[in-house]
Amino acid sequence: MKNFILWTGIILVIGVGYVWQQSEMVKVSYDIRDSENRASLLLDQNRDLVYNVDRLESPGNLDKGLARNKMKFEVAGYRRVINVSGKRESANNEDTSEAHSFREGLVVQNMRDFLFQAIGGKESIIFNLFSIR
Amino acid sequence: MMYNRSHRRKAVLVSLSFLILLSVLSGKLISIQLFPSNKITKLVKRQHWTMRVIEPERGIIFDRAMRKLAMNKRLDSVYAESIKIKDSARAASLLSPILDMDESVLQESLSSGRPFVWLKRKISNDVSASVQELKIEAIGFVKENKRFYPHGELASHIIGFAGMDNVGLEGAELFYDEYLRGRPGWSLVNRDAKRRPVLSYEKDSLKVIDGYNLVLTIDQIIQYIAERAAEKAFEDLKAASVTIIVMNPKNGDILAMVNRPTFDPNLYNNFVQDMRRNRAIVDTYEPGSTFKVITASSVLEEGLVQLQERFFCENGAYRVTKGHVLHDHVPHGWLTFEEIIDESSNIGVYKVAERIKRDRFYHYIKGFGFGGRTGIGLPGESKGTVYPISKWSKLSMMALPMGHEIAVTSLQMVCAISSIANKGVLMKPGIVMSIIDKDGNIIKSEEPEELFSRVVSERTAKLVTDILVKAVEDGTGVNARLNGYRIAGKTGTAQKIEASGKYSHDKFVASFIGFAPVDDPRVSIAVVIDEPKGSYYTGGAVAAPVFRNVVSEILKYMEIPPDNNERLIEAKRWN
Repeated sequence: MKNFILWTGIILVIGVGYVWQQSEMVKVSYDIRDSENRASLLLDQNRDLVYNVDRLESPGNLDKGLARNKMKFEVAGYRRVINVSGKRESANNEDTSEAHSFREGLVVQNMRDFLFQAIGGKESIIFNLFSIR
Repeated sequence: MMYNRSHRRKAVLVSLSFLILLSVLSGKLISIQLFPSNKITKLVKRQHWTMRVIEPERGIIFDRAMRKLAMNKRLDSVYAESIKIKDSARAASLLSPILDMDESVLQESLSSGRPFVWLKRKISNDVSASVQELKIEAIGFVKENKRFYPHGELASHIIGFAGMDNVGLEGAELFYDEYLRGRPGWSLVNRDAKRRPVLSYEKDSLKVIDGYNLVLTIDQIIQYIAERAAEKAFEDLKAASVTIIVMNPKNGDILAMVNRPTFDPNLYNNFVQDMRRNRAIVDTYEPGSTFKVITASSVLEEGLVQLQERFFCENGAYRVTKGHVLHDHVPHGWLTFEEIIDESSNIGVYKVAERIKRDRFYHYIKGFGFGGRTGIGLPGESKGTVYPISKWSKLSMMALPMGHEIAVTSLQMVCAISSIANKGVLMKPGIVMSIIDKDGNIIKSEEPEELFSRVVSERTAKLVTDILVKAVEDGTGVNARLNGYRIAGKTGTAQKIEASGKYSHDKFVASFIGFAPVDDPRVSIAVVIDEPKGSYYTGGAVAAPVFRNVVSEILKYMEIPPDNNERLIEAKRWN
């Protein structure tokens, strides 16, 4: 009788343990699913924001925005570019040393030119497309 | 005693009955568990297991500086379990204004009795929130990827667009669909009583593979410069169409390709097919005088003419055969070969071209890539029309050297001028730089490739370049002249052919092809304006200024310093 009760107890404990484990697995899976949904929502929001940034930074969009304020959007001439960061994107990732040294030597002239434009060309503001990003 | 015995017998009978019943039930249970029938298995599977399809994310399209040109957003698609909807009329009236759909169409869907019916797919977040606020029973939402193009019309003919099911339908989206679309994944998931998937009971899954990203050769800024110039020309000249192509002559990279009219790929359904057509590679036209570049290259390469050799240009009218009189726009007397090209004299070109044999001329026409697809990697490219010599008439050697009796695409023209810029080597035009995975690993890289072997010698290319420089400085292309830079180019004005088969006197194709800077060409450009309206319609008057505007902005953007003389003048200004 003692053995019967003992084995029944062991089987019961194992059974209850198994059921508890299964229910915990289901619970955890629900938690995982909720977390996944939240992560997915945040990623979606992030995607929306990235899209909005790209759309707002689009040259066409900037041009239209400036046109509303009677400003003209022009590509900056090589003499009007002041390279602050030391890094810049290039159309074909080529930067001839000639162009580079020439640009470096003209920083002061760039400043003068920029000021000249700012004062003289009231309706024409020169933008450096590289500096947008 | 009797009672006890009878009682026990009954008890035994009842127990036995129960035992038999239990045995039968146990047997049945064991049989179901161990040897289930197909019918039961299917029923259980249908109730408890569901296949979860995992949609792959379509690859992103970047420009050469890794700026996004096409991307994905996840939006809600709204569906109904119409079988569960009690008041479909009310639901339809509530949903109709929000979903912007006809009420009767909605009601038809809601009362169809089907377990699942789409109401509207890929709706905006605002619309989705409004529908959710209604809390209509049996209306559900599924997240789906939708393609978005953040720059709208920019490069729309190159990028193309993907449809509702994220399948490429036009442009690079179609041509590279195999790489972009990825492979859907799936997994079998156990579901609970509320039909929610229980992730811990997943089995037999196939991993989703997202699409590869595409890096185009296009430069967003150069594309925009060309777009803006094309738009202005299209409006100012009230033209039927405008095409501009910008190419790197050294490696064949297409930096910009623009067509007007154009379309917004985000709203592609709102635009007719005519606006969505990539005219730069699909439409063909008679190139007119721009083709004289090919004629000049051919005769120079064959050694049949000298630059300073003089030809009499008959003061503007020359009877070629009985009934065929050739005219020049401006009458000329004696001109050197160089001047013939600069002034674009038809009579002069005819006299020069008389020296080349038909088969040799045909060889050069084909060598420059005419009459064949370039293989740019966009759908729908035309071959153009180059008739075999057997079909040439007596007048063919009059018409062909000045760009008639041949149909070309704008892309073929920019490739041809690029070969002159590239010292006689014709590069295959490319629109894709590389295909990369999500982590940036290169899956496929497009290396510069020669379309054919050398078309003309370096010497001939140099001679033709010198002629084209003069054409811009003193000839018909003066409107393309740009202070500070040496530019080579050629104008073209071709009469269009009417439906009657005769040349029109009021419909023209004005064009300009050229490259800059001459000493180290970085860009070659073709500008083609179809049917410019107004008193000015020639390539020199309408296409050359567009070329100048585009090349001027591009050279600034590419930080290409002006030629030495100009630099000296600029330096003096500040000292």
